[in-house]
Amino acid sequence: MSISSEQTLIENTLGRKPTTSEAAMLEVMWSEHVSYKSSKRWFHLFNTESPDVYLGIGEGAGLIDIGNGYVIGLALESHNHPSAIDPFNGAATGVGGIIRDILSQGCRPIALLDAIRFGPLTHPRSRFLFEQVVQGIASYGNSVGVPTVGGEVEYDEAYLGNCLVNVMCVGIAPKDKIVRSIANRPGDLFVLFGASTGRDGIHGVTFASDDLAESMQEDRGSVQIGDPLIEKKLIDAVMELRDAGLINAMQDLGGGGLTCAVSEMCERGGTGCEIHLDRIAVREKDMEPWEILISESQERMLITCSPQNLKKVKEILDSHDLTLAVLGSVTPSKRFVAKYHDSVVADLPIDFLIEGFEEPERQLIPPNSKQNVTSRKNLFQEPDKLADEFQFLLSSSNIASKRWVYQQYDHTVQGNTVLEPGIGPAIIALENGAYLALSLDSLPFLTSLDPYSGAANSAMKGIRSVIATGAKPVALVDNLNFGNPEKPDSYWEFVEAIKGIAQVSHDFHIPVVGGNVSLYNEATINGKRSKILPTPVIGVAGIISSLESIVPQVLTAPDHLIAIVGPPSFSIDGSEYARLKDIRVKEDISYEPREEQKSISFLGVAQKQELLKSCKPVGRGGIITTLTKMMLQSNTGVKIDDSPVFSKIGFWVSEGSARYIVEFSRNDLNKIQELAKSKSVTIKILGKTINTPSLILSEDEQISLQTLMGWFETPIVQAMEV
Amino acid sequence: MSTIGVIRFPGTNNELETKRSLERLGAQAKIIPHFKPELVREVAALYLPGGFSYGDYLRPGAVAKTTEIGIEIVRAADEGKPILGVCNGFQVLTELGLLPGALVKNTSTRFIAKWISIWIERSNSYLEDLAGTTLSLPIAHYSGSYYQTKDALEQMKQKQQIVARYSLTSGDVTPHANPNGSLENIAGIANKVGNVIGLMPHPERAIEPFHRTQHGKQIIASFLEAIK
Amino acid sequence: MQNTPSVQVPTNNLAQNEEYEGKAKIIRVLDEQTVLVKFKDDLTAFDGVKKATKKGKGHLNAQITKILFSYLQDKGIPTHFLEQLDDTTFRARKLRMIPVEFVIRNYSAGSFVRRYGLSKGMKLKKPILELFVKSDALHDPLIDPNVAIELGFLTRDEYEKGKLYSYLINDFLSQLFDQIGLTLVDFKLEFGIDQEGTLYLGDELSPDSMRLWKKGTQKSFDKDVFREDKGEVIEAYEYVYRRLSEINDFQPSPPEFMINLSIRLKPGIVDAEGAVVKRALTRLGLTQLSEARVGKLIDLKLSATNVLKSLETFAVGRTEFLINPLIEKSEISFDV
Repeated sequence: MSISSEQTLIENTLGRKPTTSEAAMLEVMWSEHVSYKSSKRWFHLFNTESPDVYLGIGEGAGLIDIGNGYVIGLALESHNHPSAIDPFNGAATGVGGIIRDILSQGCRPIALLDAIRFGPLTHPRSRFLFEQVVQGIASYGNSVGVPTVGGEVEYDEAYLGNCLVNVMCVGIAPKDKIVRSIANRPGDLFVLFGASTGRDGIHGVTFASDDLAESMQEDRGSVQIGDPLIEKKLIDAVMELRDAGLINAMQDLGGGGLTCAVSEMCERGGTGCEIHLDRIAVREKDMEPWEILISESQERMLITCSPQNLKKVKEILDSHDLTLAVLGSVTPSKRFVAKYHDSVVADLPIDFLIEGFEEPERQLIPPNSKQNVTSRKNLFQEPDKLADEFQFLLSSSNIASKRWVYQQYDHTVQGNTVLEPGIGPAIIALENGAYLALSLDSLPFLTSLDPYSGAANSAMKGIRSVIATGAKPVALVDNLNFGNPEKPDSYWEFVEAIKGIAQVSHDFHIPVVGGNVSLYNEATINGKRSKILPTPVIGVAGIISSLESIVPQVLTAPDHLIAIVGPPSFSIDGSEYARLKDIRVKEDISYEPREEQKSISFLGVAQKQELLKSCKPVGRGGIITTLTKMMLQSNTGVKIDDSPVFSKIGFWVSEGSARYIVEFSRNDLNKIQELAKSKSVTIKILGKTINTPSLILSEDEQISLQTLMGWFETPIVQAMEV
Repeated sequence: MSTIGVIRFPGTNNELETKRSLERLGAQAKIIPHFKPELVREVAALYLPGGFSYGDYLRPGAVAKTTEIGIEIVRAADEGKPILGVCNGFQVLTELGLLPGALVKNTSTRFIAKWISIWIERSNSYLEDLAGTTLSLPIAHYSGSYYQTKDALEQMKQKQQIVARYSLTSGDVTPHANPNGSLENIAGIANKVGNVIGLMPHPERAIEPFHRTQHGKQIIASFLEAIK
Repeated sequence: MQNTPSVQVPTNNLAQNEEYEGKAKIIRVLDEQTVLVKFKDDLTAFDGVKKATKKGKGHLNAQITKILFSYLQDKGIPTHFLEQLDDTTFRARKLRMIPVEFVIRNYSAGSFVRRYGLSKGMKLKKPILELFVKSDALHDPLIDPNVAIELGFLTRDEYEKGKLYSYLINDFLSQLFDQIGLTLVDFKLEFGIDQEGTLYLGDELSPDSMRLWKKGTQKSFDKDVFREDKGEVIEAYEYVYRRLSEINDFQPSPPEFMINLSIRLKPGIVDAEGAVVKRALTRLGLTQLSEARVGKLIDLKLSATNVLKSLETFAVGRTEFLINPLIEKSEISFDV
């Protein structure tokens, strides 16, 4: 729908021209970023229900009942465009924003995960963005005292023009303390508190839905600056207000600012509002009412409270040195009325503001990318020495250790971290006595070859890693980073990916409880279209009932057997190895729910019978990468059995799905084999753990752990610290 | 049993796990927010937890000294109450003038979050009973590099004010074991009297069965012992 | 080693009871801390080429100086004035005088017009501060502040504080003279340092040391009347004195001023941020970079209601809070 036809729609509906404030509000609310007008129509495909879902998609965070009177809140959001323009502040405010989403449901934030993507580290600009984004996340997350426990980092040419910063936050609350974002009591007061309102982020929303232009520097004024000190005070104050029962409804101010927060709260409650913009503390004296309405200044929360509680609310906020403004009240009118010094600057029907736009038509056309590849045998040869290929893979930037990153994140603050970054999914201890496994994953290269299977496997990757720890997956959140939806090929990729994730959510009965869509991740650089790899980032949360049930992710002791569980795979299609060799073949890429299910039920029983000493899914970089991580963390060596299969590079680097590396005692071999048989799962003994700190591939080929460590640990540090 | 006050400035963020860890060791603890300075007089000891008091703005710990509760902390120290400042709490104690020296940015120029080992020295303080042990604890800080002038450091050594140094797991204090560029690997110090200690590593994050070690218990136990 | 201009300021070295007689005043040292300042009836101009004696002039200048110094002291500008002893004499702090004069100009006049070829009476966009070396022999040459500091005539801190006081005095005096229908065109200030190192406004503030024009005109009420033979100089001085003494408790609106504090890590303290900046700039191609150090800048905006008290309180905050003297050093500058 063109601008002018939206203009006509607005004038026809209102029966007049909109005021400046109204025009700004509508522009912001109808932007892709706030309205999801290209994406929302597909959300019904997701499975959104399970007995544990306390609150699904639609408010600040999805809430999952974890028993013993507690819920966890999950939220995931991108801050891609702001980070591309001002990486430090863009990433920092991304962290701040997602924390407030969790807080807005009355949850105390307990964990952060970040999925960040850049161009190759050989580019100076990529290194700059990478360094600044990591420092931005560290600066904010560390200051506010929420541990950053996991995430992923990826580099690809496709992210040169658009880096991606996706941030996930998890919170916890007693069930009876949950706060909703529903203003359903006319007469209640709107109280805004936290930071003052400035011009930062004005039009940030709108420009986030545009192709990122080359004139990035000029947009600098749109990026918000964060203040983690205020954020920590907000957390303390909100917890106090919540525990005192003073909050009737709450929402944070994010994209779309005050307009979005107020209108969404009223829309859910079937109410309206009358607010006074002149009561808001502004940073610059000459701010216009429309600017106040759509400002995206950070660290602001909006609550409704009963008039008789206002005094107590004020006392609590005062004690935390937080400024507040009583904006006005909830009305039964279903209209958004904003006044500035007693004159009405906006008076809009709330439903019109939220969903008055016409859904734009979007076309779906698969890209015409028939590749002239007959056999991938022509593309690479079996290497003479596996070790050379291992070095090539392990020291590539996407596989190499991200210690340089996570060592800058405080991952032990709050004292609940069980499994620290760099090992597997994060595990944190919960107040209700259970443990929470968390992962945040995506397989963009695979998705670029086959969006449906790639997205499904992105979800499975997280599910596998959570299940391997002994957890039961309880919820998914997704962050769909795609190109311009007005371009049919980009839109097709997007819809295929949604279908893939949706299928997983149904197949494995894991509800999707929240997410975010970031479209228009395309840039035109020197006249050339550059779009990101389709990147469906999936967060998975799983619950482990006790500390004893946590399965280690690293090898535990010598003289145990090691095996691969799941369908044998030698195909490199869609793997990191193939990407490094620039082999883009999608023949063997598929989503295999039946195989996945078989492996999962094998693991379920094996874990229950305590047969597994350690277990880790075969992830990015294939068996060699997974095994290397399992060895390095425990300084345990492995001797590989003698088998021609194990001399094929494909065996070591294939990322074929539904597979896990398991460690078990020799004494349990029979049980394991019988269990595999009963579940119709293939199990292949790989070798055994040994005392010698080496990976012994054969009599002539062995690699010391020291050497593996050097390949794996140094590349990122070298790229960044020289 | 007497109560320990866990001081929370705006921006402090380790207060909950600190309170919990004190309680795990059988102590009573309560969080004292900055706006209730009068509560400092009611408690037997103070634990200044980590975080970013006042956003670390200006210098870590600097703003705390302009507050009423800062004055109360100084009074408590003068009264001889045991005080343990961890991480940002250590920074606050140096800025308050209760501990000598200063904590400057890590030489790596980055925030460092990892597990390290410390060697506990013979000292004049309430951690004396742990002297000769090596503890494995997490650090998480931007500004943990201890700095002091040569002469002042000599005086501190004479008064046995050095409490802990970064070491290898063997207990050897080597340059390689120094994570942040601290002068002579110093990780913790005491005041002249020995009732005030500042430590960069976090004992309260090495307590629970699911933590990598439970070495923090020993430090907190010694701190609690000092109250009796 | 401090350089000195070719003509010394003799009061700096006077012993007790010694006297120094200048063109318009006699100064006698009373003790370590105080001097006696006696205003003479003599008038000189053009470096002493033109001379006259006007009965009552000493009295008028003493009175005007007293009024203006008291007024400024009330606003927190420290002056050397202590108490009036008689018609032409007051007791003042003994100062080591800075051999540089501070001149503030609001309108073009005098040597400023001749030096730059300007027309007289042009309102300047902003008040301009000029420094002159105190030396009749050299005809009080203009000097660049950096040169004056480099030659040791004054320190950077003394310059910064003198500059701040000069601008604030200008603001206060302009408002005061406006009350009596006069425009403060330009004026000269002399500062000195007492034994404790505090900077004080010294010398005098009178129509001898400033230009005053009747508002909206260029009619002089100052020494220009004598310089340019434009009438009876005593009448002009009397007018200024009478009008000033009629003012009762005038409260000017306080101007604002800025304190700019720059903080740097001491040399030898590892500067982590500087290292990051250096690495980043090197990555961006600035390979010639050998060192980068990052400091902090703190800008404070204050209302000049009691300047001295503000500066004293700030000095405490500066050393006890804003910087950690163990690792940091700081520099201060002022802006109005």
